[in-house]
Parts: sequence; C-alpha cells; structure tokens
Amino acid sequence: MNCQGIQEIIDAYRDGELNAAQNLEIERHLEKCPACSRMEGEQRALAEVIAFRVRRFTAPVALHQKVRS
Amino acid sequence: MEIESLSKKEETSQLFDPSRLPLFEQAILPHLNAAYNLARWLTGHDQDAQDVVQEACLRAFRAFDGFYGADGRAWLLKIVRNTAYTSLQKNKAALLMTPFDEALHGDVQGEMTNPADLMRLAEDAQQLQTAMERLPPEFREALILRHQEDLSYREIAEVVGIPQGTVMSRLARARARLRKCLIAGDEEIRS
Repeated sequence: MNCQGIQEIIDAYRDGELNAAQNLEIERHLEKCPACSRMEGEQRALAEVIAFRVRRFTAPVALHQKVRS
Repeated sequence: MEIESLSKKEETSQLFDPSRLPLFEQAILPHLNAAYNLARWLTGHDQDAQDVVQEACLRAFRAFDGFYGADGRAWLLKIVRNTAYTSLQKNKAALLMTPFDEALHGDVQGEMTNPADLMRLAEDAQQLQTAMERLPPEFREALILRHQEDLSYREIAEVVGIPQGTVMSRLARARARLRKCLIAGDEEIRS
C-alpha cells in the first residue's frame, strides 16, 4: 500500500477498526515513512486532546435523583 | 427549553411492567453520565441537557420492552440524541434549518500541525471549549461518541443513523475542522 492508501485508513487504524493484517501493514509502513508517521503522530495527539482535554460533563446529582425517582 | 411535559409519569406507570424495573436500572441508569455529556454538548446548556436526559429516560422506560440487552449505553445514547434534536428543532428551529451537508463541510484539510504545537493549543481550556462549540453538531457528536464514549464505528453508525463509511469520513472531517478551529482561535488571540 502506498502513502495515499495508508493515509486514507490511518484514522481507522488509530481507532482500532482494522484487522490484524491491516494493522501490521500500516505499522511496517510507518516504520519506514516519516511523512505518514508524522501524520499518524498528529492524529494521535488530536485524539488524545479530545479524549482527555475536552471537557467531559458529568450529570448533576439532582438529575440522577430525578431519573431514579 | 420546552420539552413535552414530564407529568407523563402517571401514563408511564400504567404502561411499564414494574417487574422489569430492576433490569432497566441495571442496563440503562449506569449510562446517565454518558447521556448527559452527549446532551450537554448538543444543547450547549445544563438545564436543557437535563431536560433532554429526563425525557430520553422516560422514552427509554416506555420502549424498554423492545430492548434485548445488547448494549444499553448505545441504545440510550441513540434515544438521547433523537430527543436532543427533536427538542432543538422545536425550540431553535433556525439552528437546524440548514440540513447538514457532508460535501459542504468537507473542505477542511490543511497543513499538518506538529503534535507538540497541537497539545500547546489545547492547553487553553477555554479555547478548546470554544473550538468544540464552533463545530457543527454532527461533527461534535461524532467526536464525543468516538473519543469520550469510546464507541466503535458500528455503534456510532447505529446511534447517529448513518452508514459506517460515513462515520469514518465524518470523523476525519470533524478532527480536521477542530484542528483548524484551534489554530484559528490561536491566531485570533495573537492578532
């Protein structure tokens, strides 16, 4: 697979949506391709920002009580 | 936000088999925080989000006979999402007047950003919040469902009601747009 093919599925790779053979192919490509590796690093950083730095709202206690009552 | 009256409790108590209440509590109620988080990001307001979650739980309660125990979280989130959009359409019709156009929101590719620069931009909590709020709701929900609720593409497709391939492309566009908003916000601050 060339760089374009890799970059089209690199999000799915990072999201754990590919099979083992596809994962292996991408990992081998990333080891030898600085451009794709850089892109993967940037995408990974963005995913971490959303997961850990974007605010995750917690339901107020009053809502828990209302729903359970 | 005006949502159908919650005085439907009496109606609900007549429709729901009380023997299923423990199962409902076990399958659905542990996901209340996820439900509120999605509703909060979609409505943008605490009280609106609480109203949406309450209404969604009532709907889930009524429809629980049709739930077969596969995945309570995705099932509840789908109801929350539908309730939120129904409510937004009723109360803020102008907000959703323009249908979401994947092609229109597609041109968001740009220069790559160094991961360290990206993390620096995201350190400003307010800037990050603003960047998320600037996204179309369809992008916001995709990012929240994937990265905060850890739903798979298949689950997101089910919650949002779109094909899995569209989930993948929508997520890619949403991430690119968020990055662009972060950079734009940073440039506004610096200018």
